[in-house]
Amino acid sequence: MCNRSYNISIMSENDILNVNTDERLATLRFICNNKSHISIDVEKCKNCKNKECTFFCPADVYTHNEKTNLINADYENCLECGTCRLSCPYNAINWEYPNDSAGVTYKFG
Amino acid sequence: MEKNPKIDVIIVGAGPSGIACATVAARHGLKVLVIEKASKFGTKNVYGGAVYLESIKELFPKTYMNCPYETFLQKHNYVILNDKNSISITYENNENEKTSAIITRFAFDTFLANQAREEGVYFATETLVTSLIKKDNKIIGVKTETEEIYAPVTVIAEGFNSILLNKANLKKIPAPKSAILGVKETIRLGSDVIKERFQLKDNNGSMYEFFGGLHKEGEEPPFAMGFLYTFKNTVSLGVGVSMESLQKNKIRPYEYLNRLKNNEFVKKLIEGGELVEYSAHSIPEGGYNEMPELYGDGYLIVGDAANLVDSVHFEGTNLAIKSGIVAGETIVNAYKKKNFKKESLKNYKKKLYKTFVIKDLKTYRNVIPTLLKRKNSIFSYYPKKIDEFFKLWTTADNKGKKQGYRKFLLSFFKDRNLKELISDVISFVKCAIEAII
Ligand SMILES: Cc1cc2nc3c(=O)[nH]c(=O)nc-3n(C[C@H](O)[C@H](O)[C@H](O)COP(=O)(O)OP(=O)(O)OC[C@H]3O[C@@H](n4cnc5c(N)ncnc54)[C@H](O)[C@@H]3O)c2cc1C
Ligand code: SF4
Ligand code: SF4
Repeated sequence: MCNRSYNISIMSENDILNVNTDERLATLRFICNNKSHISIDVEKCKNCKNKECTFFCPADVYTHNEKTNLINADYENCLECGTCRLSCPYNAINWEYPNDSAGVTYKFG
Repeated sequence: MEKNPKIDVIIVGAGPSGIACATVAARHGLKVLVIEKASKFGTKNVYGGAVYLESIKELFPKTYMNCPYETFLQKHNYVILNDKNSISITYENNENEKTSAIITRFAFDTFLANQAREEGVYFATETLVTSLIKKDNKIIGVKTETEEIYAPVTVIAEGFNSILLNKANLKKIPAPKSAILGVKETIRLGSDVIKERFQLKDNNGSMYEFFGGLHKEGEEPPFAMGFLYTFKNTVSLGVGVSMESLQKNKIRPYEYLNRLKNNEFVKKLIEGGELVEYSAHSIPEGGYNEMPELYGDGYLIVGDAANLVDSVHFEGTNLAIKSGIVAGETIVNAYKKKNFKKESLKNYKKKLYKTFVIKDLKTYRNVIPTLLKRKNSIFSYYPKKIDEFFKLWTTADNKGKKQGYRKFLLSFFKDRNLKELISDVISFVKCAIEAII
């Protein structure tokens, strides 16, 4: 099963100057993948003060849980841009392409 | 395809570079298999919007105009954005000579792939290559999720997110400063609105490059630029931001995009539009200085995978196609000599160095590093100064112009530490000299 984390019904009419991430992601078709293509080495995250991953991802895939101090990855929303592979300062993110043709698909690109 | 056909060339990736290489090799009778992870061509790919006809013509001289281009570039706009004000220059080419066209990646990649298929190229879509197979330091084939495929030559055309090359230790993982993240929105406005707003006729198109205007008072300016391309019914609007800026500034990529969209100048262009697609993709920024070795025993690297992007002119697809063509020719010759070792495949590099691909990358090799170093100057200080100048030029303050100009000129020495001005001058002159000589 594939859990996308946004609510499609909000997408009826957008004000182009004020769209949010959910509305942006709702414009895309994702082919479901049951297995996450992202894994995080949580040990490395412990030393990470700034939690950069919660800022650099264009799809807000990474969120920080204050209580558990863990990073969660909503891999289903990944746009496969490659930023996290290069930009995590501790190299804690192991990122592979989703299996076969799963993941994001663009109509325009 | 037969069950166990003998494959002469494996190509990983059906982007412009992979398809160009495949076409040239197949045209000379070689059996070429292109492996692509997407189920439909182009649906995993993102770019700004313009392709250069010269390169497509070189690849498909007879059919290149059959490609379903949406518009042809007539207007090039360069705009400096400040908080509220802007300065723009438009170059309008009315010579009716078509040099570049605007088209979606889906349509472009599909056209290229269909042409290649007609020339005998085999495609395996919906197939992810998971690793390159290495034996005695030679690449002998690829692994997919279900099988291993072998061939005397493998061409790596996987794009800038070069997981396969990184895994095989054939390319270093780039530092954030050597990579740009592009985030883009495709916005539907309808063709009438586009023609009216952008003052376009027939199938003419327009593109914009935006400098500055992305940071707020007190913030570090990002190393970033905005772009806009007009398609038939839609425009694509995006920003390319250095991953180093994203990492340091703690501002989300789409926040920069929001700022661009809400700038007074840009707002007018997209108001009333409907968001039809959001997309993101990375772009190599390391250029010539960070190219991986382009060949080795049994393999060649083409296109973005080899960092072949001219980020000063926003060109990538043409360098990708040209590198693919040269790689294809090299492989054809290697087959004639039956030699797929380094010494034979190195002709690819030799030939590529004689083309515009490497020449242009060399010309600009220090531009990006310099601009990165002087980014406060270019993205914050000078846009403000240009704005000041135009304010002076356009307002009548009853004090006499001369005094104003004097004060303005003096301000370059007074605004900042003199060292800054000297560093700017030295760096810009150095870049200019390198570009010309
Ligand atoms: C935001 C942005 C704006 C741009 N604007 C322009 C522009 O206006 N004009 C221009 O000329 N260039 C532009 N470029 C650059 C241009 O897109 C690239 O230079 C060009 O696409 C490179 O072609 P390529 O064939 O080397 O790689 P790509 O186009 O990236 O193709 C790589 C292909 O390989 C496939 N692939 C990757 N890994 C695997 C694997 N393991 N298994 C199977 N398949 C795989 C991918 O799905 C993809 O189809 C832009 C780029 C970006 C990101
Ligand atoms: S994934 Fe990287 S950036 Fe995110 S918290 Fe862990 S170490 Fe920090
Ligand atoms: S590849 Fe891009 S979209 Fe996907 S998780 Fe990484 S940064 Fe986010």
